[in-house]
Amino acid sequence: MSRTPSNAGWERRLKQLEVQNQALRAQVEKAEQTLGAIRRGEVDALVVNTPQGERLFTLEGAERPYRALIEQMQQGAATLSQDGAIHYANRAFADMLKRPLETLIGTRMEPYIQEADRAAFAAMLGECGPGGAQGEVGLCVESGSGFPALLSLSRVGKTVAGDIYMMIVTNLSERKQTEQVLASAKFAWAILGQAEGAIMVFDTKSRLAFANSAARRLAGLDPAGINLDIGEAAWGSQRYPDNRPLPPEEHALERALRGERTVALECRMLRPDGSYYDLLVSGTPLRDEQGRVIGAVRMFTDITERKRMEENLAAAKQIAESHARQLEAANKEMEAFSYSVSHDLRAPLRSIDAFSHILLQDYLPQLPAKAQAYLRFVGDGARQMGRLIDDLLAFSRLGHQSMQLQPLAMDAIVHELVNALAPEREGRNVQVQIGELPPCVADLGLLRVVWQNLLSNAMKFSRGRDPAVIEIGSKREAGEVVYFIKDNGVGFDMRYYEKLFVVFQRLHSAEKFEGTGIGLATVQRIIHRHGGRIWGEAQVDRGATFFFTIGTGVQ
Amino acid sequence: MNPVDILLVEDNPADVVMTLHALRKHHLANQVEVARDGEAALNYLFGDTTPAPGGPHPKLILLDLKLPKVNGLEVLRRIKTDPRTQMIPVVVLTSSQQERDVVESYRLGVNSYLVKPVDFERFMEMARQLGLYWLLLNKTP
Repeated sequence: MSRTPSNAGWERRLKQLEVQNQALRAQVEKAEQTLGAIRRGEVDALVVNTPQGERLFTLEGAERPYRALIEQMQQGAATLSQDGAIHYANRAFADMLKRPLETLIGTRMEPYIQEADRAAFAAMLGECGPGGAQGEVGLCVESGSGFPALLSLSRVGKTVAGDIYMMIVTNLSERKQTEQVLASAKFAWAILGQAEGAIMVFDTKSRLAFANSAARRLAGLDPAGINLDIGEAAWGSQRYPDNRPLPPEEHALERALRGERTVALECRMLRPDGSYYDLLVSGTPLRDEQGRVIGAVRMFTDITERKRMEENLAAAKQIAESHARQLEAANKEMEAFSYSVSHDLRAPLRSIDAFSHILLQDYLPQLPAKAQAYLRFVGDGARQMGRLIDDLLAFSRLGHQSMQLQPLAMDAIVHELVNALAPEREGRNVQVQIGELPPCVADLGLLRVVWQNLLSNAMKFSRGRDPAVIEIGSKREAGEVVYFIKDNGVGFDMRYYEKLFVVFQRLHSAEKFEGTGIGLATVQRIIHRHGGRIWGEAQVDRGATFFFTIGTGVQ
Repeated sequence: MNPVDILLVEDNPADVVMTLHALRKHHLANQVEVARDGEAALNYLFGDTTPAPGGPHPKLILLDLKLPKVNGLEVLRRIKTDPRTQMIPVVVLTSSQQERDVVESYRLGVNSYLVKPVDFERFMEMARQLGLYWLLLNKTP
């Protein structure tokens, strides 16, 4: 086959292209090598052929400003490959991780990220476009501890090996601390603002600088009021508790501004609307670091309600005292009345008794038998009335007599009184049994009256019993000593129990059992004055039992 | 005129009769002058007809306290502050047991203070002892 010239032309052209191609390939290879060297930090300068001749490009010259910026910035900076390998890192980043810079380059980010955040980091890296991505991760320090950091990633370029990312690292731990400080300050303000106690802060010119909600509420200030630049006078003037105006220099605030502390000064405040409220005010100077007074803190507690209660209490006490005085006066009057009544009653009684006697003594022979009997009724009546008056007087005196409380041997008192009954026991078969009688604290004279009455009742109402049995003793009930006296006499009907202790009320006829109806009333009055109780139990014809306690005797 | 043994100052007629009855029963007083109120008593002791100091005064004055016009304590005060009468024994004979009456009477210089008993027999006995002591046993200047 013969070659044509056109064929030879093509072949030559192909050869030329091949040569060119090789040259280009060599250039590319060289360029790639240069790029790799640059990447690896091995090259500091490049000589580039340009149409204007050879030109020297050095990193020093071209990138110095940026590099310096990156090297010296406070934040950490690094370039990463897509798989997280560190191509470059600045000193700040190495310092953050507390590792030598040389050991970082070429290693992967993963070990420096706390385990929990590694997946998040990988995701950030994967999703990160030219617009960048941000995220908070925990970084690990060589020593094992860690710190929170904000990572800002952005894709900055592409190489044959893959994408290149720029990473800026901000240590958040300091910012966190600041946030905490800010939060605790906020917390403190919240406490101040919401505290139940009212708190106001003033500047040195007595202008209100701060008032918490309790203070605003109390002072009648607009709760949402923003303008605090008002003098104290605007929210109320201070007065003494008795309503006298308090001189300004005595105000807790003024004193605090003079450097004095005031604790719990009681004062009355007048609201702008004219109503008042009572406060306990404490003032404390507010000082700067050099100790200069720069204002005053005033705390106060609303005691209006308490004061009102105190006032009510005082008023109630006054009323009670006045009642007591009235009662005392009434008692005195009553006493005087009963005295005068008893004395004025005695005089005519004496006449009745005397003249019935004189008639019976001096004129007996002239008197018919019936007249004599009637005169005896007159005398008996007079004497009975005399006894009534005596008993009534004694009874009314009981209420006023002062008591002398002392420890008393109850058994000795009872034995003595029982022995004194001997004349009354004459001609009767009376068995008196005395059990255990614990001591008590009481007034001796009054306690004797109690036992005398109860014993004489037991004797009286067991008249006709053979034997009459009187049992005296005590028992313990709920820690209290209960004394009792029991007889086997006629007893009484419990239906009339209500009348038992009432003056002049008698449950037996005078014909069967003499008496004035004052004995048990007297006993009850004495027991009550001692703070004790008395009660009785009985059945008709089956005897009666009286129980009592001596309140003062309970030890 | 026989010398007066007793001046009885008493407004209650029944008490007057009773007292006289008791004194006579025991033969204690022959001459008893009765004054029915305080004024009458003072008139008797200090009036125009009154004997001079050291004159024939009663040997004993029985004085009730509750009297019309001038009360018993005032009569007592006058008797005990006047040199003409202050030597005469005065026995208060009254119904009042009031402590302040007793104290006031003694403060004014009463010689004895007796409460009239309601019981007639006790009254008789008291009158007997009273007369016996002040008129027979007691020595006066």
